[in-house]
Order: sequence, then structure tokens, then C-alpha cells
Amino acid sequence: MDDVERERRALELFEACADVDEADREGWIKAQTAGDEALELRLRSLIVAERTANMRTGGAWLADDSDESAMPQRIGAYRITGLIGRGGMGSVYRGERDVGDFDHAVAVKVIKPGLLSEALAERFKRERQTLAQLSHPNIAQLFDGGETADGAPYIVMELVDGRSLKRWAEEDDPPRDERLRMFGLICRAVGFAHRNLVVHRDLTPTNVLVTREGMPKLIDFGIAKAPDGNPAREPGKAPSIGSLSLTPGYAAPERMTSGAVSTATDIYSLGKLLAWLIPAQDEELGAIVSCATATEPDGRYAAAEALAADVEAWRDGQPVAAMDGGRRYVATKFIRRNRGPIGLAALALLLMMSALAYALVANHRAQVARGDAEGRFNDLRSLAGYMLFDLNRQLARVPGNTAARAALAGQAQRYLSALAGKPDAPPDLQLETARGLLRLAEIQGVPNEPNLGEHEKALANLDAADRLLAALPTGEPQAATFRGLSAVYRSLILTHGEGDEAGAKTALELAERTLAGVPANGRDLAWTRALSALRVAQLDYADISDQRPTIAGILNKAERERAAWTVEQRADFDNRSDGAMLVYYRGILHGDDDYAAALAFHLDAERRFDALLRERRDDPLLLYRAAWNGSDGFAAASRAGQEDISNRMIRKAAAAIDRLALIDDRDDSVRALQANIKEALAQNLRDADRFDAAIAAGREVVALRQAAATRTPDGRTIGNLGFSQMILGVIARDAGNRALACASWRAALESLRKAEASGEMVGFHKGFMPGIEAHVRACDDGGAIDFPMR
Amino acid sequence: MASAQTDWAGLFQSWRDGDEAARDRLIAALMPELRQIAAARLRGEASSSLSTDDLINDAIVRFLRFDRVSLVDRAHFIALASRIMRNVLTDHARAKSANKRQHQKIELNTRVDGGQRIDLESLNFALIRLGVIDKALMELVEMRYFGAMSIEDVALATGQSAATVKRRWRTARAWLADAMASPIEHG
Repeated sequence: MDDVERERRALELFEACADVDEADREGWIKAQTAGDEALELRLRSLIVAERTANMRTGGAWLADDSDESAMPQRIGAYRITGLIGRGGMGSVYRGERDVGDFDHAVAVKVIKPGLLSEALAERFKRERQTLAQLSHPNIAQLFDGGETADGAPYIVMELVDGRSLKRWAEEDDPPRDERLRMFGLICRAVGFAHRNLVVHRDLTPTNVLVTREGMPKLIDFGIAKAPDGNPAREPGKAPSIGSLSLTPGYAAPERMTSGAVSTATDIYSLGKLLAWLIPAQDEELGAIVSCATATEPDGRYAAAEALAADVEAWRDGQPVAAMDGGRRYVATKFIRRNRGPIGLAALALLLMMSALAYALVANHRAQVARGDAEGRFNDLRSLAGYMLFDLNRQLARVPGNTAARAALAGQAQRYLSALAGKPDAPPDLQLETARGLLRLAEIQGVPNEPNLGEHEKALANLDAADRLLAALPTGEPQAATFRGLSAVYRSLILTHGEGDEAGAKTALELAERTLAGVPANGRDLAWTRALSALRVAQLDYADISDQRPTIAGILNKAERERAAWTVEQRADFDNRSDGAMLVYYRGILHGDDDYAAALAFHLDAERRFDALLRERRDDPLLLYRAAWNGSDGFAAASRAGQEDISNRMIRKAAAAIDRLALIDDRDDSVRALQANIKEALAQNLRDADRFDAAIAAGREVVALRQAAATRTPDGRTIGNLGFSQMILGVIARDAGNRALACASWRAALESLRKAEASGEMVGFHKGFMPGIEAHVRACDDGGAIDFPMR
Repeated sequence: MASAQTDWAGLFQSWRDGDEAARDRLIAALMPELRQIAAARLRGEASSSLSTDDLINDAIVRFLRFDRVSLVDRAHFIALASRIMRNVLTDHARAKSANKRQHQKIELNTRVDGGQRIDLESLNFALIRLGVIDKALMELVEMRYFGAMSIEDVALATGQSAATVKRRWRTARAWLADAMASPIEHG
């Protein structure tokens, strides 16, 4: 008998041995092996192996799936008084503090030792601290946690007297409004957690409990796996589906591909939860669910509160944002609700980022020490790329993150500088570094999108990119494309940021030459984007430097070029956004003569921006462009006598710019545009006899101007403040509020005199001074104030 | 990506009918996607401790989502995924230790043993030996360890009764425990 034959026989005997009584076993073994010592030895080894393994794992080997360990006497400071449930993850016990007071009853969840991977266990440990601080009436409070003597992680949490949302919905069959109320509370709790940087990761109808009082309590925050606290499985469903770490139907698609978890992951699950809670849906609710569960995380609601607000709007029969590219947010309400926590979230994010940076630097040092230059540069390269492209884009859409993004940019700068300083780097690395530097410059201070306002740093990075690109072979088409893009960025900074028109013109000409020189085989997507950016930059330049007549020529050229692009190049998101800008500029082109034509173009641009915003919700550049289009479209509609359209466009512009101001909380150009739009809105509201709203908007403008004048006190900003105070006075007068009108005009006069004293007063502002003085006199005399300002 | 033309239902049917070639074609079709799933997970894990639950769950969720696999085929699918996962994970373990002098221990974390950690390389080596002795037993271990399949799932996939699977499983575990406690020198 050879080895394999013997093993087979031993296995057969071992299996048969199970049916033999313990008492008869010795004799049975002797009889079966019939003197074959090697076989007997193997059989006995197997029996011993099973026994040893059993001892080691407490019977788990034999007992197999039913490895329910006995209920522990106590865990940590808690005496265990009963079993609440058992599931794939472990067991949940009822525990009491030693004082025996019922108020101290808790739920103790013990996770099977080793079930969490080391990485997960480590994260769990870290998050426990955060979770313990997460105190919200609709989130089960985490009290404590630790490890049992056997090394099983456990958490102690609030004991919730209730049942799962699933059972609540199935057993009570609550009416629609009750379900919606519950959903709203759940969204708010999730939103609260998000602002504290905690993501639930697995929101399902079984992870939400409903108390006897009908309040939701979210459990298992931040534990990636879904422990089925509810031991009853659905009949007919196999247990391994029941113990899925990601509940099918509720887990967001990105979890399948990258495992990346963000707040958008929870928004997805909330959308699924909503669809489950309200099965009968009309078109609008369907749109809300689709928006929340968009495949691309970017397409979803940016915040749980926004989803809740939309659901409430739907309930109240108001238009929902999901039907409208998500821009009908009630912005001021959102701001009020989020002002405080957002700052906190940004701060926490910053701390997280520093921790990340620290880890990266430590890793970097280790690689240097090992002399692993290749690995080090590869890491730096992918890190810088990640920070600049992925992370920044994600953060750019979350409110109040500007400080964090600035810190991120600073970190990326260090990496890129290290890469740029490597003289003998291969061409592809140099190209990529240059691309990173360009992107960094864009984030820091290229005014074609909301940016950090760091023009000097941006220009320095463009210089560094140019140096790297100049060292590359001239025939390299990608290098030429990047050189062109760099010149486009430079022109934008010089046009908008520095007021250097001559320098901007030179840069634009260089960009035109460089991009035209790229051979046909190098005219890839990046090239079309650079060219597209060039055309928009030329339009900006023409607009700002008062060369409007050249706009038509640039537009015609741009449209001819686009016609030659491939379908893929035209379908590109950035190219479509620039395409919408071309339409916007057609509107500007006609803005002074043919109002109806101008309006038609602004409406076309509006449709395009709406569609783009549906794809990439809260994208700062899109919001900025949409706000400009709304503001200019408002003017065109007013001039064309289209009152309804003008009303709608200015309100939409205001919503977009408010949203953007919330996201980009440090950008001066955004706040300036916000004040302009709000000023138009205030007057529009006044014209519609909506005086209370008009006064509120007017006050908002004055506050914005006041802030700007405090930040950079000069003749222009103080003059702007005076002008807005005057407008508020006019609105107040028309509203019949004489006291506010007079107070506003007095303040306006004071501001304008201050501006005059600075010696930098704008002529436009000065022209209003006599009129305001006359009105202030009328106020003092108690006379009529109802006469024109100039 | 698996080709859109893959006749999943047909291949599963043939495989259930005992066509080994159909199984090999299924593996070839599924491998790239499972590799992707595994790679995504591996990138996310700081240590080398892998949870097969997670891997298989991800695969199931993804395939169910695309309606490529009906629930009837679920057990068969997991069984198949188990085989692929074994390959993927072992490849990964090898790649990790390829450039290092000392043996890099890759631990496998399965639900089957109440979360006990198993050295993947030793398990793989033992499984190769077991495959020579009793191929069905090796496949059973694959399904249990790499697929985190329950006894019932394995019964469904193999057409055996749950009692038989349980008995065979006990045998397989004893053999593995012995083999891994006294490993034959490798690598």
C-alpha cells in the first residue's frame, strides 16, 4: 500500500469511526487496521488532531456552525443578565452596572474574536472614541468598549427598548406621514454623524431600532459589518446571505469596486431605505430615490439633510431639488442649520489630514532609510495625484472645507517639489509632476474656478511646471499640451487676479501658438480640454478688457473646432461645461442689443448647467458658472420684459451662489458675486411687492459688503457698502418702513463719506451722494422721502 | 471584465450536469472580476489578514446585482468563487513574499473557525496534498474556507445530504489539523 492509498484508507476509517462507541473504539481500530502499523498510526494521528484542535478552539471544530459559547458572567464593569440576540458577528447581551439600578441597564455586544480583521479591529478601536462622543437622541449612545479576556472586542451601548425598523414597518404598517417622519429623523441623525465625521457604512432596516415612543435609534455606527442583532432570519434565505457584511440592496456600488467609504455611501443606503419605506412612488419621489442612489457618488445628495429636505418638500407638495439638478435648496435655511457644525467638521477633517500626512511622512522616511528610491517616488507620485485630483474634488463639494483643502494643497506641494527636484527622473514622471503642478496651481489660484486665492503660489507652480516641460523633448505632444494649458492658466491669473492685461494677452498668444503646434496624433482628450479652456479664457479676457466685439470671432472659432472633435471628446464633462460657457457668452454677446436672443442663449446655457449639475452635484465651478448665467439671464429677461423668467433666474442664481458660498467659505470672488446677485434679488423681490423677503435679502447684502469692507478696507469696498445701504433704504421706503429707510441712508452717507476720505472713491458711488444727502435731510425734517435718488 | 456574451445560465447548467469543461470556462470568465474585487480589498487592508467572508460577499453582491447569477445558482457560484479565491489569495501571498528573504505569513481569516486565523501558505500546501488523496474532500475545504459556505450551501452545490457533508467536513478538518500541525517542509 503506497502513501496515498494509506491516507485514503485512514480517512475512510476515521469517518466510519464516528459511528463506533467510545468504549468499543480501541478494539475496532485494531480490527480494522489489521496489523498495518503505519495505517494505525495515521488513523490515531487524525483522532488526536481532532481532539487537540477541539481543545484549542473550545469545541468549535466539532460543534461546527453551532459554536455558541456559554453566556459570560460579566464583561468589563457589567454583570451580564441575559441574551438579547445572537448573529453572525457575535452576541448581544443585556448587562447591568453592579449597582443593580435598572437605569444602568446596557446592551453589550461581543464580537467573535478574530472576526474583525486586524485593520478593522484597529479602526474600530480608534473610532470607539469618536463614537462615544457622538451624542444624539436618535443614535444609540456608545458608553464603553474593550476586549474580553479571550480577546473578543466588545462595546457597551445604550439599551434600546424597541424593535427593528423592519418589524415596525411590517407589524404596524404605519401610515405614509408616519413613515416620512421616521425617515426625516433618521436622515438628521445620519447627517449629525457625518458632520462629526462618522459614517455608518451599513444602514439597513435592521440597523435602525424604533423605541416604544416611536423614535428611531440608529445602532452599530461605524462598524463596517452588519451584525444581525435580530436573530430571526428570513425564512428560505440561506444564512450566508444573512451574514453578508454588506447587506445586498443597501450597499453602495462603490463599496464593491474600491471599498472606499464616504458619507455618500450612507446617502445611497438612505435612498434605498426611503424606497423600502415608501414603496408606492410617484415621479418626484422616484427622482429623489434615483438621486440618492446614483451610481456615481458625485451624483448623490451632498448631505443627508438635503435628502431629508427634499423628501419634506415632496410631502408638502413643493418642488423637489432632485427634479431640478438639485439647485432648489432652500439655501439660507441650510446655512442656518449647518453653520456651526460645519466649521467643526472642517477642523476635524484638518486634524485627520495632519494625521494622514504624518503617516505618509513616516513612511517616506522609512523608504529613504531603505534606499528604496523607486518605491518612494512612486508613492509620492500617486499620493500627490490622489490629493490633487480625487481627494480635492471630493472635498471641494463638501461645505466648509476650504481650510482643509488649503492644508491638502500645501502637503501636495511638498510632494511635488520633491518630485520636481529629481533631476534624472524619467520623462513620464516629469510629465506627471508637471501635470500635478498645473493642477495644484489651479486649486491655489487660477480664477477660472473658485480657488484659494493664492495667486503668487499658483504662478510659482506654473513656472516650475514650465521648467519641467521645457526640459522634455520638443516632439512630445503631451508636453506641448501642458505648456499650452500652463499659459492659459497664467493668462487667467493675470486677467482676473493681477489686472495685468498686457501680460495676459501675451500668455494667451503663447497658448494659442503652443496648442496649434500639437500634431494631429497628439490631439487627445487632454488637448481638447486645454483648447477649450483657452477659448473660455479668451472670452473672459475679451469681456473684462472691454473688447466685446472680439467675442463673436472667438465663439465662431471655438464652435468650428468642436465640430471636428470625436464623440468622446465632445461628451467629456469638462468640455461640456466649457461648451455651456460658449452658449453663455453668446448671450453676453447679444446682451446689449437683442434682449430676446440673449435670453434664449442664457436659457439654453441654464439647461446645460442643470444637466451637468445633476451629474456632479455641488461642483464649485459649475455652481459658479450657473450663478453667473442666472444673474446675466435675469438681466436679459428683465430687459426683454419676461417677468416670470427673470424672477425664476435670479432666485436660481441666488440659490446656486448661496450653496457655493457655503462650500467655498474663503473665496472673495464668490462672496462678491453673492452680494451682486443678492442685490438684484432684493430689488426683484421689491418689484414683486414681497417686501419682507426683499428687506431680508437687502440686509444680507449689507452684511456681505460690511464683511468685505472689514477684510480689505478701501474706497471701493466701503463705497460698495454705502451703495448697498442706500438700496436697502430705498426698499425699506417702498415697504413703508420709514425708520429703517432713514437709518439705512444715514449709514450709507457715513460709508460714502469714509470712502471719499480714502481718496479712492469710485465715480459711480460718488454720483449718489447728493441724492442720499437730500433724503437724509428729508428724514431729519420729517418731510416726504418719496422722491428719486438721482 | 467578463464578456457580455457569456452564457452564464447555460454554463452553470452544464456544470451542474457534471461538465468539467463548463466549470473551467466559468472560472476563466469570472477570474478577472474576482481578481479585481480581491485586489480592491487587499489594497484596503493594512495588514495581510484577509477575511474571506468579505471577499466572497463582495463577489456575490456584485454578481447578483448584475443579474448574472440567479439565486438558484448561488451555491454553485460560491463554490466556484471559492476555487478562484483560493488562487487569487495564494497568488497574492506568493507575490508578497517573493522579494523577501523570510517567509511572509499571510493569514486567512474565515468565519468557519469562529474567526481563527490560518496561515494561507500552509493551508494551500496541505490542500494540494489533500487533492491528491481525495479531490472531493479538497473541494469541500475550498468551499468552506475560501467560500465561507455553510454546510447547507455545500450540500446544495454538491448534491449531497447535509449530514454527509457534515461528516466529510469533520474528516477533512481532522486531516488538515494533523497536516498543518506536522507540515512537510516546503519552500
